[in-house]
Amino acid sequence: MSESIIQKISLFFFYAFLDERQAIVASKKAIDVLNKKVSLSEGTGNAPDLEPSLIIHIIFKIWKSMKDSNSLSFTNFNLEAGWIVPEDINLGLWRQFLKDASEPELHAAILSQILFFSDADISKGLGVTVGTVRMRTSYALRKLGALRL
Amino acid sequence: MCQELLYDYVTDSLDNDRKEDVKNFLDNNEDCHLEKENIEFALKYLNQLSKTEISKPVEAQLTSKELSVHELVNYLNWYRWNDMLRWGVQALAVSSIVAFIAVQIPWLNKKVFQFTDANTVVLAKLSRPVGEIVKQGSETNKPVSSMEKIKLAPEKVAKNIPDVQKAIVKSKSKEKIETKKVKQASPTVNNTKTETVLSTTATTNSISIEKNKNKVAGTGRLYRVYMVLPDLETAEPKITKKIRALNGNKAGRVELGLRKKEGLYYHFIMPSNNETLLYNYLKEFGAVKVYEKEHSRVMAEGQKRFILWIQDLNKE
Repeated sequence: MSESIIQKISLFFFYAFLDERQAIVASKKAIDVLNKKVSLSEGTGNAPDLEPSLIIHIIFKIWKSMKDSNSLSFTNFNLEAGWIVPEDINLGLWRQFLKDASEPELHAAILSQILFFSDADISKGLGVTVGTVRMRTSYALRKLGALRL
Repeated sequence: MCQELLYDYVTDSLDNDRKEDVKNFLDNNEDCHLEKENIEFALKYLNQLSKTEISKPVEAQLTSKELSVHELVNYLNWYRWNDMLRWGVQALAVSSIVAFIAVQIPWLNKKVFQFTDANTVVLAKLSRPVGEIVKQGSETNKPVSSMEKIKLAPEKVAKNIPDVQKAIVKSKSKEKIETKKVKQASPTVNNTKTETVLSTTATTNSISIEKNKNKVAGTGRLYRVYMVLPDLETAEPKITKKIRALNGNKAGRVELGLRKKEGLYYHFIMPSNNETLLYNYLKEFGAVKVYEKEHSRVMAEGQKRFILWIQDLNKE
């Protein structure tokens, strides 16, 4: 699996949970599932094909299974930060956005504007129309922008 | 309507006509203009978030095939369990740990814990082991403690008797002298009998000792003496006099020689060394039966209690 895909998967879960431990667990789960898909495709003789919509679908599925879990209470022995955020970024704004935005808006904002998936792939992966994806993105951006005030 | 198109306007997704209309509307509407600025800000913000990188350790962890502790816990789906089940498992785990610790601790080890019984009071600490015999007049010249006396085995009491015997003889020395005097005054008493007093003393003591050998110290004894005589009126004053002569005194309220319907009743205390003398004297009147019984009333050392019943032969 390419490094870019691993990065995208890990970024999605990091900003979806804003919890490094949970993000690691979820990312690893998603990568394992995708690896299995790849190995199955190789077994059947087909070229390994990881479509963005498939990645989005797997990501969404794992997020759904872990969204209700409490933050893991084990001590994080890794003293270094797992994700290196740009220095001038205020994550407090994002934390507030996590509380205010709905789940569809959150997914749309992350997938569209952080991970730069196309609206078509997002719509295919989430099982909604393109218009719905754009509408959710629009609402998410307006909410996020309103928080700056 | 304008607000719905703002996102498309900002991302340049609108056609030229709509784009122109939205632009004109924005110039005249402050709220929409503010909304547009919010969208632009949000896009900028998210663009910066997209520059987030993952560290090498995390990348290696994601690509490794080993399961971390977090993943193991996550695979259990602990957080999806029922609250009751989750609390029950936690309570079971805690109670198991506590029970294991409690079993492992050596509670009975005196070095670890010093337990004292609140109901136990230490009166004295003895250096001698339990059951050791202490003789009177020993080196220490100290009286035997009550605790030691209690602990002495019954069969070892006999070993102390010679000393006790001496003590009795010594304590009754005055009574012996008086007995001698009484013997001399009485015409029926021979010199040989005074000698027999002493010898009887020894034999009496030996007899009583043998009887008491297996008895537990502290138990009283009552000696019941039975006789059957035809002529009580003649016998009574003689017997009463003899008992008094042998230093016998009434043991209760009843006077010596109480005349009852069917016989004579004597309840008296007498020095034990005169017991045989009494029996020998009574034998002169008739057959004598003596029964020794345990009684709760304990007499002083050297004293015995007697109940003498003389049945009237004519009223049997």
